[in-house]
Order: sequence, then structure tokens, then C-alpha cells
Amino acid sequence: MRLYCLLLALISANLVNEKVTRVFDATTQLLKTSASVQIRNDGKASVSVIQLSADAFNADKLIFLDAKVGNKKLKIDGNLKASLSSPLEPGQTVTLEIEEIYHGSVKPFPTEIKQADKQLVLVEVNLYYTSPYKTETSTAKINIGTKKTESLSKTGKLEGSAVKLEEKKDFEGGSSQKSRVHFENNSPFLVAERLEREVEVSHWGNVAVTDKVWVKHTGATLKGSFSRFDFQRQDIGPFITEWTMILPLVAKDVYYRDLIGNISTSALRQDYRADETVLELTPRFPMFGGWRNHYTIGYNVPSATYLSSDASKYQLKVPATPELYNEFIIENYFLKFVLPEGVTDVDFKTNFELERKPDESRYTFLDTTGRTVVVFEGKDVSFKHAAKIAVTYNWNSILIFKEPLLAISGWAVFFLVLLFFARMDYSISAPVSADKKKN
Amino acid sequence: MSNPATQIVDLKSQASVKAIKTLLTIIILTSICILGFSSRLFAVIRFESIIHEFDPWFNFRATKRLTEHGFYEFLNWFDERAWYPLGRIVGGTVYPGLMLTAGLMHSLSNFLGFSVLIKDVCVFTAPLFSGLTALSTYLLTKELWSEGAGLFSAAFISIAPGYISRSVAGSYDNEGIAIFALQFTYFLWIKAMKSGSIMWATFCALSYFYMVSAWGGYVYIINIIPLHIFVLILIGRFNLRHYTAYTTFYTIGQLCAMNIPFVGFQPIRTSEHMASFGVFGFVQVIAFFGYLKHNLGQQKMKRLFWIFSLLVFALGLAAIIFLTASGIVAPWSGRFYSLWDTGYARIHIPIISSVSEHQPTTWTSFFFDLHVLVAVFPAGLWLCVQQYDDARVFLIIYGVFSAYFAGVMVRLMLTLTPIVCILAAIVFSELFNRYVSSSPPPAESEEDESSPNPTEEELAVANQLRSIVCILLVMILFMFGTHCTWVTSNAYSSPSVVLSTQNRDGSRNILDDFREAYYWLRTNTPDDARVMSWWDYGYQIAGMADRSTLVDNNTWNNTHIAMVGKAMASNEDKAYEIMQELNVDYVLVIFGGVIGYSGDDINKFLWMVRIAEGEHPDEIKESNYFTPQGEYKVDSTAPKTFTESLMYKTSFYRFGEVDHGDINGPHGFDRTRNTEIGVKDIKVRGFYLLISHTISKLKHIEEAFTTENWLVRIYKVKPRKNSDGLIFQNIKSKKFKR
Repeated sequence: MRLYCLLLALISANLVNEKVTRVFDATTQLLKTSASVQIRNDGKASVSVIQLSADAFNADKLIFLDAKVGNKKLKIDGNLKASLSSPLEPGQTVTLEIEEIYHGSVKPFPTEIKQADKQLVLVEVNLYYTSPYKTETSTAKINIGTKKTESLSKTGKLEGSAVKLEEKKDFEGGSSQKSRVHFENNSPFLVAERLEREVEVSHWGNVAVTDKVWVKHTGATLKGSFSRFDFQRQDIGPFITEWTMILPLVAKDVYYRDLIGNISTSALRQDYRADETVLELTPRFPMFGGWRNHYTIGYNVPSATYLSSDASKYQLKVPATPELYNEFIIENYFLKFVLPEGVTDVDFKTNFELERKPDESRYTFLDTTGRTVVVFEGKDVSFKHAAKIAVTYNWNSILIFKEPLLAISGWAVFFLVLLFFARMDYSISAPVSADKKKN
Repeated sequence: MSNPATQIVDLKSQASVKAIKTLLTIIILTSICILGFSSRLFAVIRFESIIHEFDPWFNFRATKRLTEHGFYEFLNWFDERAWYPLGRIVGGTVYPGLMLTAGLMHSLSNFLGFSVLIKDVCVFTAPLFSGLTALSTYLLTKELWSEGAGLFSAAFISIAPGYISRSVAGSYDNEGIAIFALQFTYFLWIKAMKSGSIMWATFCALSYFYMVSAWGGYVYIINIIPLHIFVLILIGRFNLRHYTAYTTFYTIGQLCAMNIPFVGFQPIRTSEHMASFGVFGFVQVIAFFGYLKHNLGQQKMKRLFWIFSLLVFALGLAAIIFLTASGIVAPWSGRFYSLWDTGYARIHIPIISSVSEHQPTTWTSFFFDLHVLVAVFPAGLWLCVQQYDDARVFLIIYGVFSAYFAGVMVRLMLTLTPIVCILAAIVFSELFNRYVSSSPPPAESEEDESSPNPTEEELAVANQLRSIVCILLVMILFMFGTHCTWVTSNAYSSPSVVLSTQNRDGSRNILDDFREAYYWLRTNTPDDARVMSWWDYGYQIAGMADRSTLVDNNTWNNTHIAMVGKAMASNEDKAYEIMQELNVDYVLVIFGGVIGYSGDDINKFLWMVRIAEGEHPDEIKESNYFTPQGEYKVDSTAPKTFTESLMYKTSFYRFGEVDHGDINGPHGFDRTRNTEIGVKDIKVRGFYLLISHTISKLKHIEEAFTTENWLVRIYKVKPRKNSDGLIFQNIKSKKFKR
């Protein structure tokens, strides 16, 4: 990756980062970066593609990158090349607002702690701005949310609850130097290792959503014993006792259960102002470092919310991920759409990377041919993706009467059979005459 | 039909009366089924659709296995998660009827296009079968007495608490379907012995086969039916019809029963089945003599008959005793001995008497489970004796024996309930027959023919008396209904996996500690972790936590259970040795001291000691766990053997630091036993504030998890230290010597 960047630097060395301001946010489990980069074209030809790059020491942990000019989002391809909407003419400058999220860059250190210990984390970033281009000025700051650190690189200075990194001037593209900070961070390190979302559409007016969630506390693992006695006297610490999930306001019949039944500790309230239903989830047990949990959330939504139609063409537009908790991160994501029987021409459109897997088939209530299940798979989905997905399909609405007719004819056949057998005479001997029978 | 009003009307309207009667019967029976089903749903409505208690969790787990892996895989299932390290051959040690029934209902409904979860099928199996039980009880009573009594008995059985206790939604246990099979087999038996038809006898045998596949209580049928025949012989009412019915039933029924892997050759090898075998032989002899008598003439035969039959009977008995003594036929099992000698289990098999449902029944529980039925039941028995015939003899035997057995063991209340319902129904039906109709009953008028016809005035008084009696009867039935609902809702509708308490303002507080602990085990321990706990929780751990257990509710191996009991009763060092031998990773104990839950392990501890003592009398002595005064206490008078035992330590670990809202009040106050615990294991440093961070010591285990209300405590067994067991010989390093 780095070699690739250097190569690119040679080709397009005529771009210059005039002024770079970076702000790292390490107060939670995710390292969030927002950078403002002013780029000048010193070359002779106009440039329409700018090479962006992830932080040199965290490049493999990048899960989200977004760049804007003003309010306009840039298109970014898989190699982090941003295409400008209008080419940058020689001598002109443009300011890019770049947002990045790294998962796993806020590393618990030590990796094992006792129950009463605080959680310490280590963050390492590039002192220089990582870019294939030359940079003139670069400043950076890391928000750590606490006023003291365990240790700090010489290149950093603690200012309030942030670490200010040395200002660097006039450095070549590809420069790097580690700058690290070690501090206390007790925020919940909750990661959904796996999430299976299932959206089942019924044209009778209901969309049923089920989220199967496997979560893990990825902070420093608990060493030694867990004492309930101490825990009942512990106010803060690196443990997770609850989190909040956001559902649509119209969600009803919400359930929260796991493999062995209902979990009775949760609260549901509707927030009309924010147009959402807030589900406060308390897991069966408090989660300490390294502990896992698995649960299922399900609810129904009137289909009018998500489903629109144009003649026989239907569009199902849903949020592609649940808002699992504040600043959630999902490592392995599976999305399934259970469409009605008899759909054709299934297509989809989404604003983030999802891989479509081969369709499956499923039989539920009164199905004869099986419902089409469209399966998608994604990796490292975060709250920032604000992901939407639209699935379109063709469906003949007359098919809605298939199942009631099936049920009715089933009963009819049942009664006919009963009628038939009730009128049969099973006696082997000759029938007794009617007069004798009456006595 | 003898009512004068109906005699006038023509045949056509008589037919329509009959149709209305049929319609009414169908409507009444349907509503009885619905009533029976819905009165069993308290637990589902109050809590959730969940499997209850202990055994149902195993049945559920087995059913899941069946639906996921198929029938043959189920029969061959070797469960390596139970009885570690022995394992359990489930297919050969289980009555598969329940699982097959639920599995069949599940696949049938899925085949018809109704996707139902297997869990829900299991939860609702028992309530569904309660409807069928009501129907078969109706058929049986109708066959034995009258249609009216049949309807009454169906209504009674559908709500009688004695049966509801075993068949609420979620109580997914063998008894749930077995009572239906029992009643239906009896119905078919009565049909068969009345008609002497091979067809009915075959049906009866098939129904018996279903019963055998469902519940160990089938032994009850295979002893009661021969007894019926035997009594018929004794009172001289035995005839060829009975002969046909019994021989057909016996041969087909036993052949079928032997196809159940768990039963195997028991029908010919165990004492429980010998009575039926003996009667079978006896019946052949009688039939043979009947044949001889037919050919030789009565006088000659009479003496010969009695001599021979008694001889054969005696010889048969001697043969059975000989075979039993020589070990070819297995003697009566312990559970059956305890039916005759109630003190037997307490002395010889503590594990049987440690189960609360094997205790003798108290009078209150008779009333609690049957209410007015138990009071009128003897009257029903009397009516049967008074108007007896071949079939009703069966009712008498059934009633008398059930009453005896129910008195011996609380659990057998279940087999008493159906017959009590039938006999009580007969009484109520007779009473209403006598008092409801406005004209005097015909039987009475025939008897009183000599007396002059009653005057107008006398009739009026009689009518009023009649209505008073009716009102009283209806009132009693009302009270019965209310009582049943109350008992069902308060006593029998708790899943016991989830507890609930009532706050002072009446709101409900759910204590979900069991599932909290089990789910923690399931999600946060290695898949092959082995959990040691008392056997009561074995099925639940296997079902909910999905981890290996050492012992569980299928208490077939007393030695292994005693080993666990010994570990719990020994001090930590000795327990550690045992736990290392058994590869234990986690120890799970139930501790109710924080919330006052009385069914916890400290209260069960004496049984563990007793069972351990039975196998290891040299090492464990029950008397060592009592105070010098002979009391069982956890306070400061508790003896050292007790306070140093693994059970005491794991239950009360760090409990001594807990105060109950008052820092100056007693610390470590056990709410279940209402005492302050004796050994708090705290290094006291004077001030309470200072002691809050001292920790009592555990050597080989560490607390791994404790639930919110401390109800379940799980400890992790630490790996052996490298230096463990080394003795330092060097004098210089003497101070390191352990």
C-alpha cells in the first residue's frame, strides 16, 4: 500500500497540501478523524482525481472514509481516489473535509485487567499527515476525554483533555513518525461480531424485522474473578450494563429475547420529537472485557412505511442496518430479504458496499413454491455509513388471494372428506332394515 | 326417555331430540376441551412461552434433537454432555412417546404450511392433550355408567388441580400425555372385556403400547387389568369374553411393549410384570378346565378344578419366587418397594426420598388437589359396589388401589385424579338425576308402590326440597371451580425457572437469575466446559447453558451422584482432588440467602451428605455436619466440617461483607435461614469501612460469576499450580514449604 502511494506520489507530485488540520477523537472505542486539507495544484495540467490515504499506522483498520468539498460529497473509489466534481486548474486551491473512522486503533493496554482496574488504551497515529503529496503545514490534535495520560510521545503536549501534536512544516509525501498516547478510556468497547438482519415482507400490510446480534466487549479482558459484591459497589469501570437501540417510531410488537427465552429487563419509549422509538436494552448480565452475548430483537412495521409500488413494480426501501447502539460497529453483516412468493426481477440499490449472495428459498405459512430470500453480506459496517438499501421486484398483486384460497379449499376438502366418510356404511353384514334400527 | 312427555311425541321428534342431545354433547365436550386448554395457560400469559422446571428441559432438548437429526439418529443418540465422563445412551434410556408425539405434531403442522417453533409445540403439548384426556374420560365413564356422568367426569378432569399440576403449558413432561393414554387404554379395555371382541382388545393393546412408550407408569395398567381379571375369577364372573379380551390384550400389548428399547425384555424378566404373566397363565388353566367341564360334566369337575387351579397358582408363585431368587427375574425395583413400605426409601435409597414428590401425601394435599371430589369419591365407590357388574368391578379396583398409592407418594396423586373424577362424576350425576327432574324418579316410584300416592302438598314440599338440594350442589360445584382456578393460578403455574416477587405497591418483579447464570455459561465459557452442580440442575444446565454436566435428574448412577455429594461436602483440598479427577471446570451452586429463596443448595445439603455417606461411609459422616445439639445451622455454632465444606464456602463466599441496607446492622444475614452466618472469613481490621476491601480466601477455585440476586453462583476451578504437591527437601528453602 505504501509503495503504491509512493509510486503515485512520483506521478502526481505537482499537488501540494498547503495546510492540513487534523482532529483525532479517541474518546470511544473508535478512532474518528476529521481533517481539513487545503490542496493546491502546482502543476501545469488540471487535476480531477486526488489520492487520499489512511493514517500510516492505522491503514489496515480504516473502515470508513468520506471527503467533502463544501457540502458536496466526493466520489471515492476502492483505492481511495477522490474524484473532484470540477477539475482543479493549475494554481488553484481546493479545501477537502475528510472524515475517517478506524476500528481497532484504540487498543486496550494492558490487554488484561482485574475487575477493579480502569481500562487504559494506547493510540498511535502519524505525526505527519499521511499523503502522497508534499505538505506545507500540518497540525493535529487528539481528543482523549481525560485530563491525564499515562504516557505521551515527546511530540505531543497535553492541553486540557486533548493532546496537541507538534506542528510540522514542509515535508515530503509519505513521511511518517509514530506519535503515541496512553490514557484511561472506560467507554464501552462493544462490537457486534456478527449481525443477521432479516426483513420479511407481507403484502397484507406488514414488514417484520428481526435482528440477531452477537456482541462482544472488545476492551481489556477481565482477568481473575468477577465478584458480584464488588460490582454492586462499583459505579464506573470498563463494563457495559446497558445500551440503547433506535427503532422506527412506527415499530410495534417489539421483542427482546435470546436462545433461552425472553429477557425481561428492557424499556421501550417513543420519542415523537425525534421520530423514533428508543429501546433501552439491558443484557442478562453485565458485560466485562472479553465477554460475549447473543440476543435477538424483532419488531413489526406497517408496510406503508417502507413499501412503495408502481403498478406491479414494488420498491422496498429500508435502513440497511439497525441502529444497534450509539456509534455501533458491525464486523460481519448479513442482510436477508424475505420476499413474497412469486416475485421476479429482483434488483437492489445501495449506498455502501454489499455483496449479493445466491438467493435462497423459504417456506413459511401456507407456502407452496417457497419465498425468495435475497441475501447480502457486508463487512465492517459502522454507524457512519447511514446505509440505505432499496430492493425492487415485480409481483402480481392477484397472488395475495392465493393463501386465503388455499386455506379455504383446504378446509373445504377436509369437510367433504368428513361428509363422504360419515355417509359410508362400514358394516360387513347386510344392512338392518330401518324399522328395526329405530328400536 | 321414560319421561311421559317424550312418550307421547312421535318417533320423528324423538329422533330430533336425539340429534339435539348429540349436538349438546358435542358442544359441551368442545367447551370442556377449550376450558381445559385455556385454564392451563396462566404461566404463558404471566411469564412467557417457556419450558418449566427440570425434567421438561431434558424432554425439550431430546425433542429438539429428534426434529433436527431425525428418528434413527435420535434412537442412537449418545449424549456425551450428560454424566461426564460416562455419557448417556439416551435412545435406550428414555420413554420416547412424548418426544415422538411432539415431533410428529411439529412436522405435521409444518407440512401443512404452518411454521411453528418446536419450543411452542412442546409448551402446548400438555394442554392439548388435556382435551383428549377429557374426551377419553368421557368415553370411559359413559361406558361404565351413563352419558351424564361422562360429561361430569370430563368437566372435572379438565380442571382438577391434581391433573393440572402436571399438564400446564410449559410442563412438557411424560405425564402430560400419559394420563390421556391411561384413560384411553382403560376405555378400550372396558370396551374389549364387555364385548369380548378381538378388535377392541387389539386397539386396547395398541393404546397400551402408546402408554408404554410415554411413561413408566404403564406398570400401573399392566397390574390393574390382570387384577381386574383375577377379581372377576374370584367372584365367579369370569367368562369367555374376558378370556378373549385379556389374552389378546396381553400378548399383543406385551409384544409391542418389548419394542420400546428402554423396556426391552422387562415384561418377562421383572417382578413388576409377573402378576400379569401369572394371570395370563391362570386364565389359560381356567379356560382349559372350562373346556374339560364342558365335556366331562359339572360334578366331577368342581373338585378337580379347585385343586388343580390352586396347585397351578401355588406352583406359579413358587416358580416366580425361585426365578427371582436365582436372579433370572429381576426383583422389584426400589421405587416399587417404597410403594409398599413407605420407610424403605428413607433407609435404603436416600436419593429417592430426597425428591419431594416421593414423600407421603398429607391430607391437606388431597383436599388441595381434589377439593370436593375427594369427599364424594367414597360415595361413588359405594354406588359402584351397590350396582356392580363386570365392568364396574374395574372402577372399584382402580379406585381403591389409586387411593392407596396416592397416599404413599405425592407424585401418584396424578393417577388418583382420573378415577376420583369419574367416581365423583357418577355421584353428582346420580344426585342431579334424582333431584333435578320435577317428577319423582321411576326407580323410586316402583319401590314405593305399596305406599299411597303423595298428596299435592307433599309434592310441593318435595319440589322445594329438591330445588334446595340442587342449589346446594351447584354452589359446591361453583366452589370447586373457583378452588381449581385459584390453585392452578397460584400453585401450579410457575415455571420455576423464572421467579417473581410482588412489590409493596403490587407490581411484579421478575427474578431471572437462573437464566442469567445459564446464559452466561452458554456465551462465556468454552464449549466443552464441564459444570459440577447438584443433580437437580443437571437438565437445566444441559438445556439452557448447553454445557456438560456431571450428574443430572436422570438419577441412574448413585455412585456418581455420591461422588459429587462428597465433593460438595468435603473441604476445599479434598474437593479439589475430586474435581481434578472428574475434570471439573466450573462449580455451580444455588444460594438463596440474599432474597430468601428456600429451595437452595444449603437446604438440600443434608441430602448430599446422606447420599455421599451411603457410598463413602468412612469419609463422610452426617453427624459431623450438625451442631453438638444435633441441629443443622449455618451460624457460629456450625461445626468446622460444615463451614469448611465446599458447599458452605461457595455459598457464603464474601457474603459476610453484605449488609442489608444498614451498615451498622448485621453483615452476612442469611434471609432463608434467618440467621447471621457463622464464618465470614474476613480479616477484621476494626472499622467497617476498612473491611470493605478485604477478601475472604478461596484456594483452588475463584468466583467466576454470581447473578444479580446471588441466586446462582458459579466458580471456576483453577488449574493446578506448577509447584503443587512438591515438597521442598532443601533446608534452606524450608520457608517455602507448603
